[in-house]
Amino acid sequence: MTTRGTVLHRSLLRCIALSLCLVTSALANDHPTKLAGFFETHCVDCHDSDTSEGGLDLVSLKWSPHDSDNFRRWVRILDKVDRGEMPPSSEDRPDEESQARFHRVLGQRLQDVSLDRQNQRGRVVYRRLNRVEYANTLHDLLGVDTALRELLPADGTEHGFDNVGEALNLSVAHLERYLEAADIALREATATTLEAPTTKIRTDFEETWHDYNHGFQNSQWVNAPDGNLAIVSGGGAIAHGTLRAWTPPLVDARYKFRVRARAMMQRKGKSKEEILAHDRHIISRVGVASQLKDGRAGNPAFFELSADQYREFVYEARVPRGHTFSIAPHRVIPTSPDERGMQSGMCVVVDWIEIEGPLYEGDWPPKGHRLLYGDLPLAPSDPARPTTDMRVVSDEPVGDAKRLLTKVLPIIFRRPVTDAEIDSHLQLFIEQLDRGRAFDQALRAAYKMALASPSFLFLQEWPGRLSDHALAARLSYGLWASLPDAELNGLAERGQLHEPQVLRAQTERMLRSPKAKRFHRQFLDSWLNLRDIDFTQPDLKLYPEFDSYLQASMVAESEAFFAEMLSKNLSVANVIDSDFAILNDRLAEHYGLTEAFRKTLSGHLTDDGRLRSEEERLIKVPLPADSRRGGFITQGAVLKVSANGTNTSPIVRGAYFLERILGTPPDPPPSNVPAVEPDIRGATTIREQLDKHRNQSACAGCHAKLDPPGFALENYDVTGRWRSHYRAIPESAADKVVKNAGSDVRYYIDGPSVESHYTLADGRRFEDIDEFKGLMLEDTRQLASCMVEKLVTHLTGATPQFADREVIQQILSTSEASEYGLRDLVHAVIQSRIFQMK
Amino acid sequence: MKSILKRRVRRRTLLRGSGVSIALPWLDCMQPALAAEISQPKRFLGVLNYFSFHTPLLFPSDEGFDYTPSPYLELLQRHRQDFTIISGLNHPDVRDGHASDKSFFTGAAHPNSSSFRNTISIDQLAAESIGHATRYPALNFSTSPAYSCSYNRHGVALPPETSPERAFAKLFINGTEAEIADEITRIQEGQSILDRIAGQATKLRRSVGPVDRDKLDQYFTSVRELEQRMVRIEGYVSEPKPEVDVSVIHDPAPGEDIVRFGLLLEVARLAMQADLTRIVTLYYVGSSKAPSQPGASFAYHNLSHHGQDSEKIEHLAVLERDLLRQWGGYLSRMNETDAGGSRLLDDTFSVMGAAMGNASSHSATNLPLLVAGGGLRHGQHLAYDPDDPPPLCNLWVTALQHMGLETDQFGSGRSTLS
Repeated sequence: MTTRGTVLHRSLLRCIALSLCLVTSALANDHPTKLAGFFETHCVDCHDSDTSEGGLDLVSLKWSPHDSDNFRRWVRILDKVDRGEMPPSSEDRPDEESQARFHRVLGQRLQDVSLDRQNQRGRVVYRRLNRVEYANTLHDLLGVDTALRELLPADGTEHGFDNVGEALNLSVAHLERYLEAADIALREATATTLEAPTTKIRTDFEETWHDYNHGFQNSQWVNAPDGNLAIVSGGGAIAHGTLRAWTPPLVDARYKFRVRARAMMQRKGKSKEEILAHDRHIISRVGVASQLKDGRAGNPAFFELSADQYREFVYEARVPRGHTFSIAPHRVIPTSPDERGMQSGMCVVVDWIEIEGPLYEGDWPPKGHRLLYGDLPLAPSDPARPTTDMRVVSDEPVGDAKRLLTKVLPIIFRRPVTDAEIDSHLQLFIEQLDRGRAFDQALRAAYKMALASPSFLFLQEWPGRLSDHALAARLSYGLWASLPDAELNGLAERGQLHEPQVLRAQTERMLRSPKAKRFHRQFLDSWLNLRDIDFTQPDLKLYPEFDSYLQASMVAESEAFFAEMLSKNLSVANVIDSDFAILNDRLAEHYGLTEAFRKTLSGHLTDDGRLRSEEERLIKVPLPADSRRGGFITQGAVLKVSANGTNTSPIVRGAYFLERILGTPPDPPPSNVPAVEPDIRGATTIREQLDKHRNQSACAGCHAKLDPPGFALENYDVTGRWRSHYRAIPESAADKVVKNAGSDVRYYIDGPSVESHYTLADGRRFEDIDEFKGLMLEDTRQLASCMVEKLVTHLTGATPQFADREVIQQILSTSEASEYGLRDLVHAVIQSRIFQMK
Repeated sequence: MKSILKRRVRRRTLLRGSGVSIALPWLDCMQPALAAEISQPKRFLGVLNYFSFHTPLLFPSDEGFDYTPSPYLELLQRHRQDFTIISGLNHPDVRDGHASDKSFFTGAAHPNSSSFRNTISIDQLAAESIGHATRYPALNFSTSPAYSCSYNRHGVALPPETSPERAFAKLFINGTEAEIADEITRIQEGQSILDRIAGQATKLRRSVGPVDRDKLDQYFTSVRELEQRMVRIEGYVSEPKPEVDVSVIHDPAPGEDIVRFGLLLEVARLAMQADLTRIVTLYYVGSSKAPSQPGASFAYHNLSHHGQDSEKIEHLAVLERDLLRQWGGYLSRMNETDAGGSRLLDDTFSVMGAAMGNASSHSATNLPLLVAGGGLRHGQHLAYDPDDPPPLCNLWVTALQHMGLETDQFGSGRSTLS
């Protein structure tokens, strides 16, 4: 029934509606109207031009998703609303339907833009080989061992990964070094003799002791009862078994050292030199050290020696210029829990050392030479030296060069090459010949050109589905950090590699290859930042138990643990907690698991009580219930790398945990926050110092998430040792000190006790690390999601983008049944669209 | 080959004959001189100390020309009139702990953010203008190969030279005739290669998308830059290297970083004296291993995170005093070196500073800076208000103007330092 009143009412309504529209269209700015409504109701009170809380002004925020900063802001808005963080709990919350609609509308828009961009341009920015990949490639291609990696500048990283295309830059310095590195590698791969110049000699320390000791004869050497020289350790870090009398005939090449040695324990008792303890085993440290001064031995390996019997062991390493072999006693294997590892009086008795090298794989000439020069003969180039310094010669230089380039360029460029490409390299060759250079020099110039070309230095990937050749390269750089091998290339050539079964079978083959160790190493370096394991040295006064053998063991532990997770397809939950650990004697001691270790060890020994092989030094040990270990997060390497050598910080560890384990990195701190100054006098604990910001609302937002994991891990010190009290330096020596049995007195006192209890952001409380782990394990999907993101980053060379989310969710859903087994996740990523498109 | 060598004009003879230091472009195909010709070449030396100094022992408690020397500055008092101690400055929006070092010579904001892209550092900018006048546009040194303080226009860190022995040999020890001939061949080969791969890169560039093109552009720019470098080097290769009083320098043992620092400083001074370069940066990074120095039994990183422990601070002071002694030695020698009538010290803008004001707390404000030379009036403690200082880049503007660049902007700096 219409009355005048109603008509008026209607037009009034229309006016209101119109003015509302005007208001919303002021907001609209290309926003879909559904979003505008939502913002109006729930957001603009705090997020308009006058009050832009958190820096967000939704009235003037444009919708221009093709600008990556703008896109990121919109993603943030979506995520905050999805997670229920916005509107804050103090405000009226949107009903389920509005929230779902908001997610659909905004999510779809963002998805469309992101996916379209991926299809047009790809996810991955033109990606250069990083130093490790470059060095491995030349090693696999040419068989060279020179330290090419050290020649190249450091690589940029993105979220810790050093193989992300976007973060890898190239400057004139890089290019200069690439040319230099290619030059070195090509020369080294070139044989100049008819036979391998490998020699084998047998020597010992006599000459070194006699001629090269600079007057240190007596304190660092002693004669063992059987007449051999023994290298004595003073209990400190530096010992003197550097084989100064020997220099490598060819520098920067690989040598094999076979050593016959045993241990000796020498204590000065009442008679001048009493030799005791025939049953002691010591660990010797073997490496390559500088000739110049007693420095630390690089590339160390550790071998166990017994005092009653000589044994032989083999050590292989590259020996750079000015370096030589070195061996020294490192630590004893303690026979009781109170005994310290580093003791004075440890000796290594060396009977002889056999040195073989330079080493070459396979036949002569080595494979690199055969790749570069085929079967072309060698001829003397200098009549004075007819058998060394020979050169490759050719009767038909241009024809031979063309033939070789045609064969080699596709391998270097990792794809078929055009005639024009071959020709441009051939032209360089001819030009060099015309300038009077020898055949081999001119040919190497052409190869150098290829190795400096963008087709070699960058992965060739075009938007859309990757070609089989590009797929082969991405697969092999992901799993082997190097170029594809013949089998992969063959499948690529036949266009079969992208077939799911074939791809799966190849992934399996590659994961089982010894070259997959490179994947383990690179991935852990990036994911857990083990790359920086050497960045700090723990304060030896506070942490006297720390030594380089422990550090080397820690890194080996993490690599072995990862390898085990991969090989047995263990659930990603093992990142948080596992029922086993992979330990050697040193780690067992450090973690307080000596008993469990010994029990398991007995199954690995030969009849006469020795380890069957060096590989067996690290063994899988089932963990007792109260071990406080298990998972990655309680491993020494992780705990060391998330601390700074002097003290731990729950915030640093918390941020590390959020970024790397949960995949929810915190926002950066506001710029006006003063840094916390650590106090190692033990006056105040870190918990007391951090109290202030926990109680401020401006800080609580982030710290409610940051602090809990950090505090849960507070019971582990900078070396990963379990502690119930903080260590501190006493004000004066008269304060209580704790002695280390068998060694010098160290000064530290037990400071305040560690409290690791805390409350998660959602209110759930935990008492200690075990309860914390329990809470984390309630959401394994989150752990898996983080792992998948890291795998995507490493395997493709780009961090996950918005359009990748749906694929990642799919991967998680299909792996849920197998509890997100790690090997399954790797396969799933490789089988996905994310991996197979640029 | 021999005829080419004989034909070359001996540039050094020409210079010696004329008695005046003039910046001459060597070959026609070189970049045209951008800076105005100046009668006396001006130089820059910038030192960055990664772990900073314990500023309570460095900053005098009073300011101005009559400042009372602090414990550290006692070591430098014989140079009092030749240097200035500056306190209170910082780079706006650089509060990133250790990562602040990336921005020390550039002033770029938020070096720790994941999308950070650095900008050109002051030495590289100066090299663009005056670098052509010398054999080496700039020299970048560091005591650690993993740390560089200089960045090019693309924000890429330039790998530094870490061996004083190698640097000295490269700068001052002549190669044999065979070595020189070899090098010329190598350079010509390199030029041929670069020319062809530039062609490849151009073709490739057309077929990639805009984001990828950026990377290829970096590659392309590098190729062109390297080509130009090779042209210059070719010009210098057959020239005898300058003579200096020192005949050889040996590398110190690993871990002896302060010695290494001192040697690199000396090589830098010799290079500037011989006009091989006019721009040097040097990054001192304390070793993360314990040094073998008596009195200091911890690694520098460890000590700089002293956590207020007084014994550690004592050990730290031993190391830092040593570092400052090296700096003092440098000032002495610069004082004694003649540069065409004036002291090399005056013609060179020398600065030693740090990107953190307090390494124990990782704070990046109230940064320590020691400035010498540069034609400025010295002998005072310039104390800026740490809560509201001018941007540190104003100091870099001052330095750039000293080198003859007509600019009043650099990084976040908008004028010279007042």
